[in-house]
Parts: sequence; structure tokens; C-alpha cells
Amino acid sequence: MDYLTLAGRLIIGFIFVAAATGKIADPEAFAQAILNYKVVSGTSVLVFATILPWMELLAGLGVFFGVATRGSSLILSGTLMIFTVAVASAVMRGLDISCGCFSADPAVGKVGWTRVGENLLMLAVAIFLFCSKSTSMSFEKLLLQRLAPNHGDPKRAQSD
Amino acid sequence: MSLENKPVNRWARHFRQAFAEAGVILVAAMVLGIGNTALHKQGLFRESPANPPLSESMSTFISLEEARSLFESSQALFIDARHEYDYNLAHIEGAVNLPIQSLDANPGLLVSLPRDKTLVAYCDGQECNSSVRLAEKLIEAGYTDVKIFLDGWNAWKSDSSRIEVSAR
Repeated sequence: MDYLTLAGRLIIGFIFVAAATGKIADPEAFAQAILNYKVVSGTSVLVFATILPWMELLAGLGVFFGVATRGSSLILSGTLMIFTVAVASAVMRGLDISCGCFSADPAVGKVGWTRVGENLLMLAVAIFLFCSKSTSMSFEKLLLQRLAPNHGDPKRAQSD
Repeated sequence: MSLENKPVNRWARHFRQAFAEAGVILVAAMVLGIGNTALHKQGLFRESPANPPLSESMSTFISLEEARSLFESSQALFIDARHEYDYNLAHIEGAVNLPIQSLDANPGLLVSLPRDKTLVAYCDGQECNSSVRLAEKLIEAGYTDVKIFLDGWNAWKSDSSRIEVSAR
């Protein structure tokens, strides 16, 4: 289970960090990608486009390195749920748009049921990470071992 | 089994910790996102199209009817500020494509436009500001007869059949 959690953390973390960097570089193009879904409008889109990529970056780094893993995987699960619904609704409405997932470039990654499937797969991994108690090879574990060397010791836990 | 070790309490602790961490990440993302865009004058902090030099004259902005009449007069060149991908899908008939991103990288693209025609910049519609930014750049480059078709592509395609698709 430890290795499965570690693999999930590294894969999802890498994907989200990679997805965030292009959007951070050009928030206006990402705002346009959001507008193309025709779900939200107005200047609030720019606020989303400013904050969302940084959330993806921080949560991606969080699960990758094992820092605030629960909060990070909660954020990733939440954003993936929203993305999945948005992409599925765009496909059902017949919109011919880019998903804006990895790049704000409209020529990259058009929406489709494959994209919905990929999102659902990543959502399953993110929920697994959220539920997993494994802290193998994480900064959290390293920090706990430094600060409280007896943390997690069953004998110590029983005597408490 | 002590109260502390009950599964319900363990999950409650799990969720409390997750929400607390997510809250910290959200605040950090807000600070970093707003700070970064402010520093680079992007997005929310880009110098607003509400106060560009061209807003001094509201006649710069043209309606769909005015755009149509300029189109029929053949005295105007329509310039599509959207991404090349969107332009290739469909655009106003005869329009040339000058994506705002490519102009940022290569301002030299502006020099070859005709000076004896009205230049009409457009993008998707009122929710995008590429047409305004393109018009600003055209004026900076010395073009004097520049208009902005603010309702842009969305208004044109729903009203006119004068559209064309680029061969790919």
C-alpha cells in the first residue's frame, strides 16, 4: 500500500505541477479557456484564472513531496470533480473547445469523452491519496520523526 | 475502544486536518497568484482597457451594424486578434490574423498593414480584451484609422454568413 500511495503521489503531483506552470505564465489565456466553457462570465473569471493555477501548483507539490498531503489531495479531488463536470457538460453541449487542462493554448487538448475518462481516473487516484494513511517517503513523516521520534510507536501509543 | 480511537472520530480528525491544510493552501495560492500577477502586471493587474488612450474617443468602438457597413464598403481590413487555432476554425471573411500573443513576441508583424484602410480589430466578444489591446498596439505603431468591433466574432457569426474557414 505504501508503494501504491507513493506512486499515486508522484504521478498526480507531477501532472498537476506540469499543468499549473503554463497557466501561471499566462493567466489571461487561461481565463479565455475558462470563458470558452460558457459557464461563467465577467471579471470573476480572471480571479479564478489568477488563483486556480497556484492552487494546482501548491497542491501538486504537496502530494509530490508529501507535505500537507491530506489537504492537497482534498484540493486536487475537488478541482478534478469540477473539471470533470465542466468537460463532460462541454462535450454534451457539443462545444468545440480546448479543455485548458495543461495549456491555455486553444490548439492543445480538445475536450472529449477521453478527457472525461482521464479526469475520472485522476479523481480516483486523488481520492485514494486522500483516504490513504500511508506517509511513506514524505516530508511529513520525516518532520514527525525529527520532532517526535516516538510518534507512531504502538507501545508508546498504548501507554499514553 | 476509547472514544478517541473510534473510526468516526478518526475520520472526523482526518477531515478536520484536511480542511485546515486546504485552507492554508488556498490562502497561499491567493497571495502568490495575486502577488505574481501584480508583479508582472498580468491578468487582473494589466493596465485596464477602461483607461486606454483610445477610450478618449468612443467613436473608436463600433457596433455590429457599423462593422457590417464597413465590411460592405470594402474600405476596411478586419484584424482577428484571436488565437490562430480559433481563426482557422472560422473568421470574418477576408480578415487577417494577428494573435495578440504573437504580437507581444514579434511587434514587427504590425508594419505591413495597409495605411489607406480602416483597421477593425476584433476578438471573441465583450468578454475578451485582445481587440482593445491590438487596437492600442496599432495606434502605437502609427495607424490612425483604427476601430474596435467590441461585440466581435460571437456577434458576427450569429448575424452574418460572411465568414470563411481557413484551409488546413
